[in-house]
Amino acid sequence: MQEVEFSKETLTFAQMFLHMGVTNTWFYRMLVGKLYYAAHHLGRRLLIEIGLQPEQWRANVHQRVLNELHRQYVATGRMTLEAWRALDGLLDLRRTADYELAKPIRLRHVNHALALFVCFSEESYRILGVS
Amino acid sequence: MDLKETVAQMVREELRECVENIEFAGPYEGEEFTIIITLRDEPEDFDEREGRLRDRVWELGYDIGIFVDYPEQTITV
Repeated sequence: MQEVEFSKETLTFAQMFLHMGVTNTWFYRMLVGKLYYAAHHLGRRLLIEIGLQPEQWRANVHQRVLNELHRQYVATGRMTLEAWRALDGLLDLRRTADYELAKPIRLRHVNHALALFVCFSEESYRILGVS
Repeated sequence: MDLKETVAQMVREELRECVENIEFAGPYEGEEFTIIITLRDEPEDFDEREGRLRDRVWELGYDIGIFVDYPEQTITV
């Protein structure tokens, strides 16, 4: 699945760049965005797997993915609330990083985004049956 | 009580003494707004408190963002 491959690549490169010791807010904003979108794509894949068609949605797609994941997976006990909260938190981080330029995006935010990403992606892999 | 004040009250109830400042941003992508919380300090049970806050805000039924800024300094270049 290309969503799974993309998410693994995203995590690998994010960790690699951080290990290089880059301390730049532009870079932090980019990393937060990439981590969110990699998770968002995994969320869409989960919805596609149960017959929904998020590629046809035309409005409020990000919130709708969250709403449907809650309805289809969390409410039915197939996804933990913790994992769902992780995607919700990543969306909030990404929006702020993209639009609130006056707000500093710190290394702490990137590390938090990484932890949220790992939480959501591992839960997604488990549901999808991939390792 | 309007929606912003309702959410700000939830923040004060869950994070109490840890809150240094509350402000609002957006909307940018169709959300109602994002509440930006600056922490004075970070309690050990912060994750638990933030989780409860997220659940309460979610239950309001609106698309509302929550962004937390931490009381730490990060060197940037």
